[in-house]
Amino acid sequence: MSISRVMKGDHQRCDHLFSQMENDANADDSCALNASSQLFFETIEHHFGIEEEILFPLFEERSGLSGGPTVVMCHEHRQMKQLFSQMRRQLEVKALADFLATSDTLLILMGQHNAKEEQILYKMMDSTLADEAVDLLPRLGLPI
Amino acid sequence: MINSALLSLVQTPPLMVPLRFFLTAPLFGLLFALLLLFASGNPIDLRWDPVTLAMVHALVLGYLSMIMLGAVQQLLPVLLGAQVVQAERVATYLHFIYTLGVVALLIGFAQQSRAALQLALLLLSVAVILFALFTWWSILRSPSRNATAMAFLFSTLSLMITLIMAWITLLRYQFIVPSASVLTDIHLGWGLLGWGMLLIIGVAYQVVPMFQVTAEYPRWFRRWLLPLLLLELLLFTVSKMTSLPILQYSLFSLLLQLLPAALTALFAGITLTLQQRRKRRLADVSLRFWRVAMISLLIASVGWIVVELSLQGGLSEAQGAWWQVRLFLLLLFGVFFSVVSGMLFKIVPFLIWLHLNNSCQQHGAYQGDTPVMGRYIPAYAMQWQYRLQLLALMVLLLAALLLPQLLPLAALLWGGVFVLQEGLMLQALKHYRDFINVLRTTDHGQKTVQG
Repeated sequence: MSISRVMKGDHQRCDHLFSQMENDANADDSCALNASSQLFFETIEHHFGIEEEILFPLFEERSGLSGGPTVVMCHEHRQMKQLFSQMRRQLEVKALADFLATSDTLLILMGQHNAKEEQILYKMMDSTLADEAVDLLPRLGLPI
Repeated sequence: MINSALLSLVQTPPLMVPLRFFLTAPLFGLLFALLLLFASGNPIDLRWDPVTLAMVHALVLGYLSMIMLGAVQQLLPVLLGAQVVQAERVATYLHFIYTLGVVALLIGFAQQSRAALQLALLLLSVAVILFALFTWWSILRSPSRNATAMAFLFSTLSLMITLIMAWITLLRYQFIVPSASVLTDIHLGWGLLGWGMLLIIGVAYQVVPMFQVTAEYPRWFRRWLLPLLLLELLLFTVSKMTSLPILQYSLFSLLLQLLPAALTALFAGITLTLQQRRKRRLADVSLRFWRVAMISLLIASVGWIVVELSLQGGLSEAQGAWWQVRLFLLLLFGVFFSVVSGMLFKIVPFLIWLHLNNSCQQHGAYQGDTPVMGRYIPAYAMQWQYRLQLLALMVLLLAALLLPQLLPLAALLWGGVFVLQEGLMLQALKHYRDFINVLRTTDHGQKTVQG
């Protein structure tokens, strides 16, 4: 099992939870939406945490590439987190139309972000961190 | 913070890089609609009439390729992680030279002017070479080696071959507007199937799963479809231009006619199935446009196969050509234009949001205040665009198949489609500029206070 496969699997899980949340908002089901949105935000923030606290620093250290692709990825994480806060506020006041407009923006931002990670960064990690992957993967707290 | 903003901006070309192409394209679309409205006779059955050729090229070069050129420059860094260099400068020159080239070509066709046609081919050659070098250089520098990179490579190559065929054709005809020939068939094949379809397939591989949260296209399909289509185009060209015995067998020749249609039908079928099984239940306008495109592609591909087989079974060449022109219309208006609309309504609002968000960061403003995508082009306006475009497609097809007297109405409806598309994009750009002005004023005000 490689870093890219595990992390891509987590992207797919986040996409699935995102769709569930959006479907609940679209169906105007506030009760289900509260639960599904909480689960989505928790899962994706955990994913960001794994990257920012474990994978990116290790990759930067081993590759010597600090200030490169990982910085761009962290910048996009911040952009997504701003959208999460907007969506949380919109949920509190039950502004579901605004919530869906924000989630629409998030979907594309998330999609192009994930594409860059899966096609470039994770593959670089697979080769740079190949020797450490066996010990590293169980620490991520993701299904292997 | 500033470093990351700069890096992020490096990854995303300036807003006007793609937008200048997107905003120019509907103007050529409108020109087509006007030419159709005031055309004498039925242009659909006057395929080699100089004005018809001008109309077709206003659509495929002025509208469709214009948008594709802008989209590729935007998608290279986003889908392939390519670090594009000199994006603003390349886009400025490319847009200027290409637009002049298209205008010269349309004048050359409509006025049957040799000088204008020669100038047009020169300008378009400079533009296409510049675009191809920029694209290939970016792909070479990109770490991504996926099927989308392959699609960008192959489609740009196809665009160059389309242009080379245009040169060969016009040199053969001594720059007099040509009529049907083997050369024009090859030119059309590389333009539509190579440049147009290969690019759509490559983009679909990424954006269909991304926009609608579907499963990915099957791996075997992603790996084999593009090389097969390119090989098919190469064999088709060689078989038409040489007399290699093996390529002249009628069975082989028939296979070369049927294979691309079978493959594009398969592509349409797989895309529709993926969309049907999507996790995201929300059916937005972008998805609807993609569905119209794929259903049109399925019909056009199967229709092509039926016509080719019927030609073997007794259908006359003239009847075959009559049907092929209708299938070509379905491909252009139903497939390509629907995909373009479906993409523009996602890309333009997203890019405006992204650039505003980055600007907020640069100006130290709270990014959470950036209005999200739906504010730039409202959902109801997109719905109207979708309905109008679908109606325009239906009326055009009806006019082409049964009621030619509906052609002026089709021209008016398509004119409306292009005007609305331009208006919605300009409105989105106005929102962007208004917001930027507010940011600058606020920023300036803060600095003045601090000073």
